[in-house]
Amino acid sequence: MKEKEPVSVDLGTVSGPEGHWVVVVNGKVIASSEDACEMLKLAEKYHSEDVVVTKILYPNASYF
Amino acid sequence: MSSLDFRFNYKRIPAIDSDTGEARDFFYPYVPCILSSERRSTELLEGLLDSGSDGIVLPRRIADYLELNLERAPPIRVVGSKIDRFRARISIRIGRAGRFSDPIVNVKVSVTEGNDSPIILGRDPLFKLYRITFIDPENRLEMLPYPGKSARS
Repeated sequence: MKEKEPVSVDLGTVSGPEGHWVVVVNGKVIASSEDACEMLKLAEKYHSEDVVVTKILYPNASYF
Repeated sequence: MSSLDFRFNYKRIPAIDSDTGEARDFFYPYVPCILSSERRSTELLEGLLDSGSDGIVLPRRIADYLELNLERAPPIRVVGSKIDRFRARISIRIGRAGRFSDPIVNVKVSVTEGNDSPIILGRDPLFKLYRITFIDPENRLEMLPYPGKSARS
């Protein structure tokens, strides 16, 4: 029988102010800031498996 | 390095398309990762996988959080300009939800003074350790460990 291809992990959807770093807890944005360090400090307060810090990219931008 | 393969659907970020003025979804090849220094580690972050960048680039405030020892380095050349930068070393683990690669240690990174760019995950080291495929028609990517490659860079 043909082996089933592994399913891709879905990184989900995120919305927020363009250019901001956001803290996402269980899929919900709980804070945003231009300061990545502050968002990382805030993320420490949540259970590691529930939280991700990401950035809202500017649409149509190129980075480096 | 653990021989884990990874498959990630692109991150979806709804936004107004500056070219058309209309709302639409943008999809980005983000990769979940944890960055570490000798002093501390981040919670889960997402970095932009970028085959056009030579290596990993961090904005300064990420480096501040990690308390990295920064060493002044020549500017990065980008299209039409140069950007001031520092050099540092970190460890990085790829993955999420309890499924992570072994740490890729002693990774050279560039740190830019600004905070406006995302974490850039360029070719060194990820593209040297994984066979990476961007599957844009399906908004997803694959990272398959390259046989015989070590995470010790």
